[in-house]
Amino acid sequence: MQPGIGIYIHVPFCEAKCRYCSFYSLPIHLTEELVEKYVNEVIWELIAASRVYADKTVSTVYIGGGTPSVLNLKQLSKIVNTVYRYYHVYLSEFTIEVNPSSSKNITEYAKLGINRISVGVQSTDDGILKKLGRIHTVKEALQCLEAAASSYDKISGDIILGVEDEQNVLRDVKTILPYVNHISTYILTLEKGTPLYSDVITKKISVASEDAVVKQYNDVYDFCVNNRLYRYEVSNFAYLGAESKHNLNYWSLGEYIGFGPGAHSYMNGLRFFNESNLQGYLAGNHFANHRQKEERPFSIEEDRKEFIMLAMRTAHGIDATEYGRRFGDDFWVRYKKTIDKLKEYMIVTERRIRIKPQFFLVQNAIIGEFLDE
Amino acid sequence: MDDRQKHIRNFCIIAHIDHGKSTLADRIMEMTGQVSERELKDQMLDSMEIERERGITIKLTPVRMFYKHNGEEYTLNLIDTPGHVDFTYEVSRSLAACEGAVLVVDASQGIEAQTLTNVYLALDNDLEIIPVINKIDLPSARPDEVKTEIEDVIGLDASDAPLISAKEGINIHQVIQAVIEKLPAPTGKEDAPLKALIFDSLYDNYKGAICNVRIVDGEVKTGDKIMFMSNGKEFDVTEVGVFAPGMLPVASLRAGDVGYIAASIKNVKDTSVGDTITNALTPTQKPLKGYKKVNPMVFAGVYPADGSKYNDLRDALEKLNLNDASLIFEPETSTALGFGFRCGFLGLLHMEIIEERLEREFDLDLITTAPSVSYIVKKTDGEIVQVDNPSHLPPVGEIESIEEPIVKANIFSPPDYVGAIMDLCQDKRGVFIDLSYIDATRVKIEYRIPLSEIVYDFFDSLKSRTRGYASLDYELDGYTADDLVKLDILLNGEVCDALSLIVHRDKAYARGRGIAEKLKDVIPRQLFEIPIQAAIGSKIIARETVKALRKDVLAKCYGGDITRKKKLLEKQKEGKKRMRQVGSVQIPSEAFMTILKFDNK
Repeated sequence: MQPGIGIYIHVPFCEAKCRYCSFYSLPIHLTEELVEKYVNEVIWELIAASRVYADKTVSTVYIGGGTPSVLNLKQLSKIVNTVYRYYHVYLSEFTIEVNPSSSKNITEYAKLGINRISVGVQSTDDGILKKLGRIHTVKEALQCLEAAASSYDKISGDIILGVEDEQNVLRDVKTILPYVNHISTYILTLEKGTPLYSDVITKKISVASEDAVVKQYNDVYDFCVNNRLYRYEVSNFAYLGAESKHNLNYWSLGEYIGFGPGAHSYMNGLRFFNESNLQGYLAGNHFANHRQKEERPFSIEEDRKEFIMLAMRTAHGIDATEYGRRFGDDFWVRYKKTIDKLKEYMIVTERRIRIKPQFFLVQNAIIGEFLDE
Repeated sequence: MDDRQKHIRNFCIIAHIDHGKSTLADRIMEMTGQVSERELKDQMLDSMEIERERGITIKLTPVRMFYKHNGEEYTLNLIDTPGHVDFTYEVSRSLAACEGAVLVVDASQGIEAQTLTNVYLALDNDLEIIPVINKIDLPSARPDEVKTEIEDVIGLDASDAPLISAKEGINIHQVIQAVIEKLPAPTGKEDAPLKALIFDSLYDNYKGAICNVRIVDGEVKTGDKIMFMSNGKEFDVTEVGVFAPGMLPVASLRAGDVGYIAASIKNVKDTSVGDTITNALTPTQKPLKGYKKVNPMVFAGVYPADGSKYNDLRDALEKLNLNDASLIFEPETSTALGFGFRCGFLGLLHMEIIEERLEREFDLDLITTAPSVSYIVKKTDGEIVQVDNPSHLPPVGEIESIEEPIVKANIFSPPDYVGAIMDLCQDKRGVFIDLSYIDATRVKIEYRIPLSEIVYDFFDSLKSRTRGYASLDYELDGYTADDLVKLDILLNGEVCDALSLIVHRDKAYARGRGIAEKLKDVIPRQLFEIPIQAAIGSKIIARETVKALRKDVLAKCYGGDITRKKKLLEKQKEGKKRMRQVGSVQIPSEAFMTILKFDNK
């Protein structure tokens, strides 16, 4: 557990919408005026929350999206400066997500106080990038990685799996590995309402079969492990020490505040979130009330389930001592039946329980049993 | 005979399903002013929700009406009857309480299977029959041909049969007049000892068990001490009354009347249908003939989908049983399904209706096993056992022979489908008896077919092969030994008792393969590979495999998304609530039902 909280800032703008993406975002070029309003609102929100949580230390900051790199330097520096000015930042990690097509300022971010870059490479095959509706090319992605490597120690690259049966994901990983110390491998999920989804439903195109996805994932896993990148979460590989601290905080049910439209927060045992569309977000008076919407009814049961579900996704699994500290009961007693039933899929030590590496890909079936009890 | 009885007519309406019986009953009630048009819900006598929705009659409901004819007032007691083959028994009960029957025949469809069955039942009970031709308003009506059919096939004079449309209210008075003029009046002796036939019983929360009766001789009134002749039990009458419709108390019921008797009877089982009620102080010597008790033909295990609802299911069955004595049930346990009941039904429709009522009226989620029939097993040691649950079949080594119930099936159809029907009957192990032409457009085919084949999917196959034109009726026709075997289904090496079936050896392979394939589709992939095997004894005859789960993972899970993802997982979990654990394998409830019908590919 990190000592301080995480701050997440959501930037809801993109140059173009990817064909598989179901998240809320607006095209940056149509909304110059809105972008300014957005930046101001985020700043008000940051200031307001800083007063409420004056006693908290901030360990990690993450600017995600959308595509944060579509903000210009001035807009971005206003936001970053606000964080540094109003919060007690005892920083281990300050990440920004960058798309190769909007990465011209990438080296400047370091001067603002950002120390980690996450690059949306996705693939080293232009055909696949096109199929996904990504607007960058492989060449741009490599240039972006190169630029990042010149200014940052901590770099992550995103790779997407499962787009096609014959997808050379090993080449993707091998190509980016010289530049990064962290790789996120996401399996393509068909989300209802996206163009990709309807194309697949209407059989205009197809995506990778389950068998192919499994093979791709295992190929990447083998390669990474052989190259000292360990799998610390089901879709994340890193050199020891290069894990995303910000995300680890989520997965250990640490505290975080989210800013910007649709951002969720978990602070002092409360969950709250912002309006997800920009107009609604801008209409909220965040300065007066930074907890716009609270999740209710709220129960310790929900926390318990989330704690288990998230911890099981990581290589460290569930820390029974930490469980006891949080929920007051004995993990081993409460889940004895489930553990006995699933013991061939789990590794149990004195203090921890985790899913055996070979069963990471079927973990829902295992986690589900724990949510059941 | 006294003057009073001369003015009573007790009759019922009989018909093939959908020939308009209930609509005619409604019209007659309307004509006699029994119910105002405003009160008249469609199909007044079908009081159960399911009856109205499906347009079928299940329970018989009596009603008393008055009608002025040639200046004299007549009392008409109409007893509605079910039209479906499953409820033939109930028809025969109504018939025994009547002197005559109105036979409704559809003007375009003509005589169908149940028309004939019901006519035979009526003739067995010495009833006078008035044929009525309904739906003459339809463009396809052919009343003259149907009249000829009635005369040729049934042998009834149909020359002056009323031509009516119950739906449009055409010529309904002709039916009522025919009832008065042609049906005999009751001829009971009012001063003789009481003899009342129970033709139905039901349970009322306030009055206790209530007997619907036809008074054959004598009189009964409040305060009388009555006795049930079958068990000798005595009760004090608290109320007698008639159906107006709805219970209307009267001073007394006398010979020729149809009505009800309430006597604070706590247990509905004391009022067995077909029994004779007499006066305890001045009893009659001889009970009425009654009718033979009907035995259930179809059996199935009924289990609560949620195992903790066992007691709710038992309460619900007991409540249904109060008004439906033909439903029988006893507790059974299954390793796969836990605690439940083996239920006996009159037929498939009856089973479907009970299931639906349990689910709707009692809000229960059920798992039902494949319907079975009752086998007679002769063991090598000479013992004879009745087996209605396939998993209770003795080990092969102990079986000398297995006999299965056979039915005589009458199928009515246009001649075009004769080939298809005979193929089907042959395929269902039927033995041909007879084929006869009713007229140029209709054929009657008779077969002896094992009931288990009828229970399986005969109705559906018949319908699909004849585009719904054929009608089927059947009656039990003894038991026959055949080469029957128990087909077991093994999941991950363990027999799932709730999936076992008794089938003919020649069909076991196809059935086993079909079930294995079907199960492969409905059992979700799990953490390990699951072999599905069909076996006769220790011999495996089919095998399928549910491959192990390969990928079941949430691709991404960050910040704001976590709650949404958790819900996704919980949704997955919801589905699992309806799963049953068989050994280490989880099976969805639907699996037990989906194996019933796989032939209709």
